Amino acid sequence: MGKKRFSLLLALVLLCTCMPAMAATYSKTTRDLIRIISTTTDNGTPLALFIPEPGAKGVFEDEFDGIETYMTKNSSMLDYFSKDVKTAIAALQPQGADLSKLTLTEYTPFQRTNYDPVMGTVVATIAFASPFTADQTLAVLVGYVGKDGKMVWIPLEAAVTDGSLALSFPPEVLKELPTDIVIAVLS
Amino acid sequence: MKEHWRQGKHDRISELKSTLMIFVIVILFALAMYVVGQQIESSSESAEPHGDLSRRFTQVPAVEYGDNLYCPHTRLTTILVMGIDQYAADASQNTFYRNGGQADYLLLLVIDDEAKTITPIQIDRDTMAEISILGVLGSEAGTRTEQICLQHGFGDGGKQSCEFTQQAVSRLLLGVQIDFYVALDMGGIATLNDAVGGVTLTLQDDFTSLDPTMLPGATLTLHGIQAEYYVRNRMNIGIGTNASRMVRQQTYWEGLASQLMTRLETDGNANFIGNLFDQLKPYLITDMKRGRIINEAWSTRKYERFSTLHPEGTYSTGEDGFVEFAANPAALSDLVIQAFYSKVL
Repeated sequence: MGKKRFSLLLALVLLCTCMPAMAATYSKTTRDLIRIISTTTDNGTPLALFIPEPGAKGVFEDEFDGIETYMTKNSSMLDYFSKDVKTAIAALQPQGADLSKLTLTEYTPFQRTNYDPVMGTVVATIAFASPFTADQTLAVLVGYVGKDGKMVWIPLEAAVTDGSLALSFPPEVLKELPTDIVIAVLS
Repeated sequence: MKEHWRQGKHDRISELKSTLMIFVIVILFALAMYVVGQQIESSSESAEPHGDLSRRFTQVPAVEYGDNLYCPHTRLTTILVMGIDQYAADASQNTFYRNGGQADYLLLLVIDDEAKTITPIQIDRDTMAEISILGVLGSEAGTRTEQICLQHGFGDGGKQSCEFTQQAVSRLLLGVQIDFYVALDMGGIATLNDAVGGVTLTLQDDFTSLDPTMLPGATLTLHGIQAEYYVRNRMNIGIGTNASRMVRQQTYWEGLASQLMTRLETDGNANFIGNLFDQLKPYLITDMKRGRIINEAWSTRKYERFSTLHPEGTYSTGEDGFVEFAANPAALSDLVIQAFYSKVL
């Protein structure tokens, strides 16, 4: 058998064996609607960012329960945060943005590793379950558990790209972040 | 004598006056009753006309499709049957309005009470369709095109999730009305199967990794969890696709339906359906009352059951690596016309 024919046969055999593997993909769930599309850094090394498996109830879930309880009695999500955080959120908004009707739309824990200060500003583009549009009023915050055991919230710059969000993490924010963080999107 | 005559005349006049008085009083009374009656009648809601035939010749709106005119069937009952890929216990821990479980089995039953037929339409769980998204606090956050099974994942995992799925399937099928839904979680499969005495079929695929008796080519009556393996599992079963699983689900459904109808005929009553409903209740979410389900099963037991329809389309892999089924729009229209309309001759 010539080399050419053998190569073709080998390719066909490989194709036949991998097709079932491609076919037998796991079924999509609502969790799969949230995915990290890309991370870009100043030095080109991607930031390792991933969504952890759902784990035991922790501080992030307690915080969510607190937000949920708060929103049963209040109409503005913004007032949940401290004055400093509210000021920082407002500073990132376009002139005249109405923040009074914002509610929590997304709340997803992430884990980040391998951060190096040489990465500079990191832009993480993330697809969430909610479809976002460029004309929407949005506020995005990264949260983590501070040294005193309380939640710390830092607003981030965010841009909508094809329904996903490109989030900018400046170096001064990244250096403070532990491995476990949570992203909250208000819309 | 003259006095007597005058007295008599006086008596007659008095009598006449009395009679007249009584007559006037009666008339006034009747008039008063009439006026009061009119007031009562006008202040109450207007009564429905009886024997009003003015709408007898009102035309049902027809649609033009291709070169023909079609009228919708007027005596349809549509029921969306869903199999949810979750156990009830998991659903009870639902958080974030996004853990309602996927509707991995979708079957729309179109029951035509005039033609006495049942048309099942099976919809691939991976059919790309417009679904409603909820934020993590339950607020509506827009829509997007995703696999239709994901719709049930949004909501409370119960009534809300079912209603969203009902709407998504209706949108997919060009706005057809879906009257009811019946959702069964995984815990109910074995119960349903065993209640009918087990469904007998011939296995085309190898299930021995799950149950050593479930050999390819074997004809057996499924019992207990075997039924769940057969209709639910697909990874490492045959070619592992949802399409191949749908073929098994259709085979199972047809066997189950046949046994249910046979049981109804044998019993001569619908008590079995009521008992079955009671057994399945812990696993069921439905907006059909118990009595309605019983009546529907009983009244349709001799209806002609048509072969299951499947929207035609093509499979591909999305950029996220998951299977997508794109239903062909023209084929969808054909299917809706076939199941919901008849040609105007």
